[in-house]
Amino acid sequence: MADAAANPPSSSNPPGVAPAAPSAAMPSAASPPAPAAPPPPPPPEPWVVAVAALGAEPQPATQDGLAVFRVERDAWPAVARALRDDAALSFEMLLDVAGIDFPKRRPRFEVVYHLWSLRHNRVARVKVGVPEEDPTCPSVVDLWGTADWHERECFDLLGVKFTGHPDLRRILMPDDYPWHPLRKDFPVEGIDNSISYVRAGGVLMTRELDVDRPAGQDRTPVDLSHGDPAGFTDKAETEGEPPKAGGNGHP
Amino acid sequence: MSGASDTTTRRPELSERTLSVQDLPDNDLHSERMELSMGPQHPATHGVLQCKLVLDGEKVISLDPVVGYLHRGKEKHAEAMTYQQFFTLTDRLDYLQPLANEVGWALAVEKLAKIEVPARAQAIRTIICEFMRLSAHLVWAGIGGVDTGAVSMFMYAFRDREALFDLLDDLTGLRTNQEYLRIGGVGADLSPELVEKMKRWVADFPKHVDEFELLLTGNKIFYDRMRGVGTITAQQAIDLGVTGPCLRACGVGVDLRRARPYLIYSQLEFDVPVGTRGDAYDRYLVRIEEMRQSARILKQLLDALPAGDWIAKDWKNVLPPKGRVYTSMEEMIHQFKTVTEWCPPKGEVYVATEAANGELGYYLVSAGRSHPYRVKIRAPSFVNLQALRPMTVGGYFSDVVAVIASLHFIMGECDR
Repeated sequence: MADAAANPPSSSNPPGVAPAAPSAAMPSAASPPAPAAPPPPPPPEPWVVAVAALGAEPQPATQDGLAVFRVERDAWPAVARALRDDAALSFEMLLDVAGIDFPKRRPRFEVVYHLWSLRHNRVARVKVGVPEEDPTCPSVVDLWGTADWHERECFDLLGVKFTGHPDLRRILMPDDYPWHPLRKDFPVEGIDNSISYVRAGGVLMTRELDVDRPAGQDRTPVDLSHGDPAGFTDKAETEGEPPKAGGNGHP
Repeated sequence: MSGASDTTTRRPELSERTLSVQDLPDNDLHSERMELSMGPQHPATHGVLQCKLVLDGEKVISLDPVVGYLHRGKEKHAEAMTYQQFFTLTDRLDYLQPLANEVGWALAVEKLAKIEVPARAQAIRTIICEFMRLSAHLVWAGIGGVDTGAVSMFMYAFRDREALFDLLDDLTGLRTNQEYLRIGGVGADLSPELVEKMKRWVADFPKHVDEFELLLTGNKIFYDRMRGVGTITAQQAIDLGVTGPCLRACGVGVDLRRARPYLIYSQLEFDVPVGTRGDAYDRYLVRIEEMRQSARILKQLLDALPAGDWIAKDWKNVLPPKGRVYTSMEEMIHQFKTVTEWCPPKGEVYVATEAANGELGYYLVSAGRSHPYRVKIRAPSFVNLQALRPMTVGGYFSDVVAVIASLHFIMGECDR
């Protein structure tokens, strides 16, 4: 990191702004409102082309002008290594890992990485899709040490399991917490699991906590059948009645 | 120390027992391995952090920070709140600098909805950002002094912080958790009288920083507690995603106010202090110098405060001032529609600001509804806390407190 230390990026060197690259597979949800007469997109910057050559598919620019890429899950470790080690890219710092749940989309989950190149002063956003049937994603802890807690948080709140993570356990919720609360089918009001009972054979029994149990199981199921064609669901907007907040509302 | 000292059942091996002190490679007295739980209710862990320590005598063999005791599910709550409502929760992230958290959120929403903010509102926001940096750094200086034995430092730092709170009280009506930001501007104007009061405070403040330095910088006890303690290299810091003063103390001169400027920082003159060794003492020096630079920035801002509006007059997107809501039909309708059904366009933004502890980022995904689809808060305290392990392992147990004091994290922000 001698370069970054010796030459701190100055304000005369603005962050790399990625132009919109035309793409056939653009999700309608991410596209900004179309202007009346769209100007022809400028040619992509060389580094964007270099990242695309690694197997990352450039996505249309969003309101913040960051370069956005979509990477196949299997290709992600190799792409990540190149993003960090290639001198022309040199994304030394992983800023953030965010998991998003799109219940109507396939794949259902999206893991979003924000990378920062201190040397070139650029920020890039990389998205990796994770299907619901096999909610695993390759870990990048060996590339960026900071991914350790970020991935634990993503596992804790979304239930995405990071393969190769040395110590994947919950971080914000209690260790024995059974659900992944940032999933869209988890009610905002929460589920009271302070008294966990199930009625079995006429007897109240303590329910054993199972990390992989989907939210709402053996409780009032949450309806996800609504939603718009774009794949977004917004419970608070579209549902007539909010989902029951667990409580002791067991049969 | 709270927590029981769970000594392990392991007995020392015969070979260990027969070794004499001189035979040991580091000439150190080894003893039975001890597991110690420090926190979550511990005065030196700055909130509810639990450190699971394994000690060999006074040496730290391993440290496992346990976080989450203050998790309130802010990101989940955001999905059920309107954009304006979420300001209330951002206040309670880093509660030492509530307004700086609000500024980050306002910038993210405005970038998403492409709302232009008037120059005066931008300047007022920059002013409160710097006041918030001072507020956070003053607590850090006071508490850090207490943690390292300089109890009188607390009185000096909190004297200034009380005066600072009086200014914020005049500006926003509240001492902390102000909820003063609005989408498109701020909630009230900065009066000329208050500007004069702020100028007097800012003019006095560098002298007070000199007092802090008289108390601590050359203090032999403080120096010995901090120098060479909790050292990490620049490479380690970047790998761990450390940002803010802790990264700059390692010699990496990266400050978002320079690197990815926001508000009106690109028009301001200030220096970015950089350390050389990356130890606790350098982190102390960097933060002390940042206080002086903040005062310098504030002086420039208060001397040349632009005239004009303090909130964008874009009533389709912005809450109209209350006075006009009560007197004008048009504004009343706009207020009603903004509160009930304002929706930004679909899209996503990542907006980061340089908070007192590092890069505070908001990743905001909008589905075009009145509530955010997903909000991810990149909390600098959460990320920086990972550096606690490499900073403390191999050092002495008593240094853990000094390292925590110099690293400075806020658990409200860490746990969200």
